[in-house]
This record gives sequence, C-alpha cells and structure tokens, in this order.
Amino acid sequence: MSEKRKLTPFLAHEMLFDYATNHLDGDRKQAIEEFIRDDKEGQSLLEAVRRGISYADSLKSIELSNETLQELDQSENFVSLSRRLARWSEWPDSLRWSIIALMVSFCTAGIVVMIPWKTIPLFQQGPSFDTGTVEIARVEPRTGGSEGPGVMVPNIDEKETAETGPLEGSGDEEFAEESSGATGTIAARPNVETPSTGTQTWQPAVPPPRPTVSVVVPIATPVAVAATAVRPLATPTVVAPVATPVSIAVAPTAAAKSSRSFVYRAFMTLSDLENITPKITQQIKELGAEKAGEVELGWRRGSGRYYHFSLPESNEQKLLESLRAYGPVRISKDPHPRVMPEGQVRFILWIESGI
Amino acid sequence: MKREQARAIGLFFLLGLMDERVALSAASRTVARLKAEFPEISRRGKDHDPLPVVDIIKISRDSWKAHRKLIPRNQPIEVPASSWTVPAGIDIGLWARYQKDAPDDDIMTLLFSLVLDVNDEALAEGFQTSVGTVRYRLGKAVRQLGLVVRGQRVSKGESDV
Repeated sequence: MSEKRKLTPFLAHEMLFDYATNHLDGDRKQAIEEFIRDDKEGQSLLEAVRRGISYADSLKSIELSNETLQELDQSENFVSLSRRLARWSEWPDSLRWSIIALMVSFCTAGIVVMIPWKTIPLFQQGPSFDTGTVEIARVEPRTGGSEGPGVMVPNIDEKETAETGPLEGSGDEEFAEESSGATGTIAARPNVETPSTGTQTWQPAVPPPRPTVSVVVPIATPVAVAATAVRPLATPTVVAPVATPVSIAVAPTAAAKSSRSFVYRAFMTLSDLENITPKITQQIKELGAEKAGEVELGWRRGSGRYYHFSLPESNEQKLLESLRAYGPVRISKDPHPRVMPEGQVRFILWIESGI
Repeated sequence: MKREQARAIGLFFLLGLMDERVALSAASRTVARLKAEFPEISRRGKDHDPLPVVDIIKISRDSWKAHRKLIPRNQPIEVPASSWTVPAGIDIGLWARYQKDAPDDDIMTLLFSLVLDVNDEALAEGFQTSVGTVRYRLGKAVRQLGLVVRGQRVSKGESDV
C-alpha cells in the first residue's frame, strides 16, 4: 500500500477558503486538517479567511438610502426610454385615451367626407347637378324686395338692382318664378284648364326641383296651352298635379329628367347696341333659334336687349362663337325644372348697353 | 426589475468603487442598460420580475471597467456617506483599505459572491471564466480581506494592552 501524499503549503493555503466554506470532499478535508495541525502559517491564514468571510457577510447589512434607491429605480437611458415609450401599453392612460379620441374623431370626419352623400337619395337636397358639366359662371339669385319674401330674381347685373329686372314685362314671369323656385318657394297659381285637351295646368306651391313635387312631364305631342294662364313654351308641356295618381306614377321619371334639365344664362355688355342687336338677332335665327317667351328676340328693355329662345343643341357652340365675336360673354348653366326636348337647349341672353 | 436587484447593483458599485459620484453614475447606467436590454421585464406591471443574474454581472462588469478609470488610484478615499447607512458594528474603513489595493476581478468576485450571494456558476458565466477561477479569486480575496481585518483587530488589541 502506497504512502499518502502530503499537501504542499501552496496547495494547502489555496484550499483554505474551500475548507472554511466546506467545499472539500472528505479526503481533502482530512488532509487540510492534518496539514494545519502543524502549520502555524496555515492556521493564521485560516483564521484570516474566516474573518474575511465574516466581515464580507456583515457588509450585506449595509442599506442604501431611499433617495439612492429611487434614483436607481428611475434610471433610464435613451435606448431604454425609447424602447419603453415605443410600447403602447407604457404610455400614460390620459395620453392613450386622448389619442384614441383623436383617432376616432379623424376617422369619423374622414368617413363623413368620403361618403358621397349626394348620391344617397335620402340625403339629396335641391336639384342635383350634372357632374359632367363645367360651370363657367354662376349668377347668384338674390331676394327681390318687390317680389316679396322668399321670391328670388336673377341677379343679372349690379346695375339692375335699381330697376325691376330684365324679365319684367317680357312675358317670362313664369320662367322667373320657376327660376326662383330652384332656391326659394314659389306661390301656388290657380289651376287653368286648357281648352283643347282639358288637361289641368298647375303651378306647385312647393319648390319644383324636389323629386317629390316635380310635376313637369314632357310629352311628345304638342298641346295648345292657354295663353292667358301659361305663356307659350318652346316645348309644349303638360304640367301634371302632384296629387293625382298619374303624377305619382310619373313623378320619379319627371324628377329624374328635371334634375338633368338646365338653362343657359348668358350676359353681355356691349356698346352700340342699336347696330349690333339686329345682327345678333339675325345670327340667332339663322342658327335655328325659336323664341321661348312671349316677347320677340332682342326685346328692348331699358338700355338692354332680352333674348329667350330654344336652339338645336348642335348649334350651341356656333352661337357662343358668334356672340364672342362682339364681346366677352358670361355664361352659366343653371339647373331648371323645365325639361327640353332631346337635342334642344334653352338660352336666356341679356345684353346690357355699355359705355 | 426587482427593487432588491437595484439595491444590489447600487451596493456593488458603492463598495467596489468607494466614490459616491462615480459609483452612482455607474449604477444608474447599469440599471438603464439593463432596462434597455430587457424591456419586457422593465415594463409597467412586470417591473418586479427579476432580471437574469448573469446579465447583471456582465453589464455591471462592463460598467465597472468604464468607470474605474475615473477614480484616481492614489487619492485618499472618500467613503460614501449620504448614499448608504452603515450599521454601527461595521468598520467600513477596513473595506476601504482592502479595496484600495485589491485587483478589480477579486473585488468584483468577492462582492458578487459573499455580499450579494451570487452562486459560483453564474459568476463564472458572467465573468466568462471557469468556476475554478472564481473559487481561486474568492479564496484570494477573502484571505486578503481577512488579513486586513485581523491586522486592525490586532492593532486594537495591542492598543488596549
């Protein structure tokens, strides 16, 4: 049996910590004990190790101040802060709810803007406009003092404000009323029975552009209309009462057609009207125009001339070109409940005498 | 992050560097870096979950190296007074004397193992070394510390006589 090897002082001293903390196996432990029994330096070091462990253990009881702990707890750097704030759940509740409320508001506003309300029948108001047309100029209707409240007259020119307006006395009062009906109300007119057909003509007491009260229905066969009650129109029409079953049956079609009908309003300011007017009248007639009101084409009113006529649609451009030869033309395409026959357009031209 | 772990990091740097300003700066940066590394743990509602000890050791060691240079070796030591409360029976001067001359790795190993109760395996992984090396450093550090402590007591005993 071989003799047990003795530990060297170096190995023994290095193992004193493991011996003190009981990390050695039985043999090594016995060897260390045997070694330090005779080694004073080993005993001294073992005592130092035990004191060191004891002192280190006592350091555990050191407490940090609350301020220091709080400071450490709230320590952030740019990365930690940005990562923390990048998480939605870390945002303050008030901020989160504010953002949610803001987003809901924006979404609602966006939806309201995006929905084509005008295409929804429930929300349609007033005459619908043809989106395919370009409005060149708009003549804003104004409330006329002499016509009473709610009755509108076209604002042809600022100069006209002192006068009664170009349509007065022209035989186109009906037209004026219908025009005003587009934005205001029109007065109900007495029913008139036409002598030829017995068909009733009736002016509604409610705004005509509204689909439910659109009563103007075009017919193919021309019908004589009483001149006293209703002025002759370019295209003879029968005006059906809303209350009758017939009118209810045709109301949607009439409403759809009336929503597509329109009238051109053109305005010019020219000098030397005396010489130019006959030329313009002649040119208009040559283009196939037929007067649509009672008065003749180029009717003199105050210092201006009044034209109300229907024209083949194919000559519309030619007319404008011929008018522009005399001067600038302001023209607007306004919706109107009166439906023109296919291929026909209606014009109201007012030429004001300029200086 | 557990409050206990924040305390451990603070104590580690205060004892290890023995300079209040530098130690608190190092501890703050370590905590912030840990929060950045572990956003899931440091987030609201989970801020009491413990952080992995190995990562605490690694980041604390990096921070130690960065801040150790800021402390002049030959200057008199200022014991942090306002940041901690030392129990009456502990002579913190003994630790200051040991800390002044001991190698950095020995101090860190001793603090993590005996003061902060980190096990040897985690220390070895954190320091990227072997458990044997950790045990060797620990034995050396404890022996040196014990010699400092015993020397004080001997001198006290001698003065009493």
